[in-house]
Amino acid sequence: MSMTHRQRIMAAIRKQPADCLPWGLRLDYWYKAHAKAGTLPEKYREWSIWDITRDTGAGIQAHHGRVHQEILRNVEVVTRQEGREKTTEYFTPVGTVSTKMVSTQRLEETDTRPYEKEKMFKRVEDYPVIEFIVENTEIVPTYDDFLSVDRLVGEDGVVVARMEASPMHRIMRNLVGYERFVYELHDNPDKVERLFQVLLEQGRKIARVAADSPAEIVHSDSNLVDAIHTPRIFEKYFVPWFQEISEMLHSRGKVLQCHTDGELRRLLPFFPRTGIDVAEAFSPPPMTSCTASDLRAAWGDRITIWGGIATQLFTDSYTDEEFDDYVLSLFKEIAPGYNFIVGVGDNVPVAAKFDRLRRVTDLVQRYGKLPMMS
Amino acid sequence: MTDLERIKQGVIEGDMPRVKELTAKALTEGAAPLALLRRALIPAMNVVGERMRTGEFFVPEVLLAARAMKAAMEIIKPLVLESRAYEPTGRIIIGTVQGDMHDIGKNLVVTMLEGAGFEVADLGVDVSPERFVEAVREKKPDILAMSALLTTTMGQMAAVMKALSDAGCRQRLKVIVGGAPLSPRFARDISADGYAEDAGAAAELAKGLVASRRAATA
Repeated sequence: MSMTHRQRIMAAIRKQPADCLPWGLRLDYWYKAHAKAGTLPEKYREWSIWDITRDTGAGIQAHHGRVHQEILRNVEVVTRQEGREKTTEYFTPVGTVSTKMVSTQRLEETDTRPYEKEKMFKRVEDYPVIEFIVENTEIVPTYDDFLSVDRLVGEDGVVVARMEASPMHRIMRNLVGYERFVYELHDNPDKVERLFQVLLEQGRKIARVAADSPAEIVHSDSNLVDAIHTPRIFEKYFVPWFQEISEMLHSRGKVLQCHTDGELRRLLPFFPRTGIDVAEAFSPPPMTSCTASDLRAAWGDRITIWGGIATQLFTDSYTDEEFDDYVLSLFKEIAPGYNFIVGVGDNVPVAAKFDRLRRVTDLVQRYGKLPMMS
Repeated sequence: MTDLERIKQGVIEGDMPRVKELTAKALTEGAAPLALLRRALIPAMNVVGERMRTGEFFVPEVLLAARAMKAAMEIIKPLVLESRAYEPTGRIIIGTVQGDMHDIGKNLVVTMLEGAGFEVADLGVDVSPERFVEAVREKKPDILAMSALLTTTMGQMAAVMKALSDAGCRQRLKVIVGGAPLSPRFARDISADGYAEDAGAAAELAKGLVASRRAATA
């Protein structure tokens, strides 16, 4: 009897044998855009994202969302919507900060989250206010939604629980913004370090909730790029964080996944020390410069790779023949195929030639019996 | 080490306070603003671009260098513009396409282009095809540069190309594109003149396109 998608995916993640190369598909960008615009293919008009994924023959990679809730204490939050701009103000006893989110017609049409036009941090005086907000945020477990999605997915795939990004990434991307972060780290390193410590403590609380959750796979961090996160920053702030939470998760039988869709070449040597179990959304050329062979050379079999087919291959820039050649070439590259899950790096584009997803299924069924021959 | 060499070194090291101080001092002592630009600031950013290309520098080093250069430029720009001898490397319009609000990559490209001596008109994010065409008509640039980070918005670049053609603006204009989901192949598919994988490459591509265009019209 053949294994289920869930069994295959988990076997690859836990470095155990499987009957066939796992193929796990995350379809949410494509689905949300078409569902919102009313442009789902006729056959799929009333289908759920899970059933559409099942219909492609792929396993489901469900990114459920968080298994924790954040409840603000001692902070008054006021939001104001003006057209497509939403301003949120946070009033605290030590000062006020605000964020501004903005959407566009295109983002709305594709059900893509709004863009943060103004970050919470704007000036040096904002540090204590942000620290107050973080320190007055209660972290509460909330597992019901996860369990509900997990039941819907069943043996046809896996459900991933998302944590917050790593503490320094939250500063860089969410709170301060990449460019200003560079200046702050240079000009005010002590203040950045203090905020980092406050976020680190909160991150530990969130990780403990995730570790106690019903999820087997816990996801932290995404969109790492070596040019921005740099070896120096990654080694100092990211590696110890990943080490700490991976140990915590491993001790509870969980695995740690990271969304590795960016250019990672100069960060590759650090990954084996992180304790990360799954490098998901691996995006090879033409998306980034790193091939599966590059990752294997740097990591050995220590980290399971999930991905391997770049987003662009699903567009009409590539012919069906070129697509097949690309996928078969990937199979040869990753042979014998253990500790690898075929997936899209990093997402199925809205304008995807949808039949190519079934094409992957067909190629996996024809050539993906493990061990594969190179 | 001369003052110009110190300013150049200060920019490369991203030492904004020192660059500001040395620039003001050099001007007080009679240095020509154009000489500061051509013999200190632009060469410094060329070094930064080269170090980025070879992997020695990362984005933080580039941003800090650019901040130091901009601080010096704020002091000398009014003086440089007064000089009739000043001619930028080229003129570029840049923007992130409609529906896309991402600006990190675009801003880095602007930084490297300015560092290479280009005059850059940054249209910002979420720029419609009509706005690109309007800006091209108004400013008559050598190059139009477009950025997109999302697979949902990269298709807008084709819409801009069509709008440029429909408006009769395409013939004298070079178009370059960049962004994470793009590739040289995509650039060819939409008939762009070039693709750059990072900010340093964008500046080199732009310099090459302007040089070849000037050579062709010389």
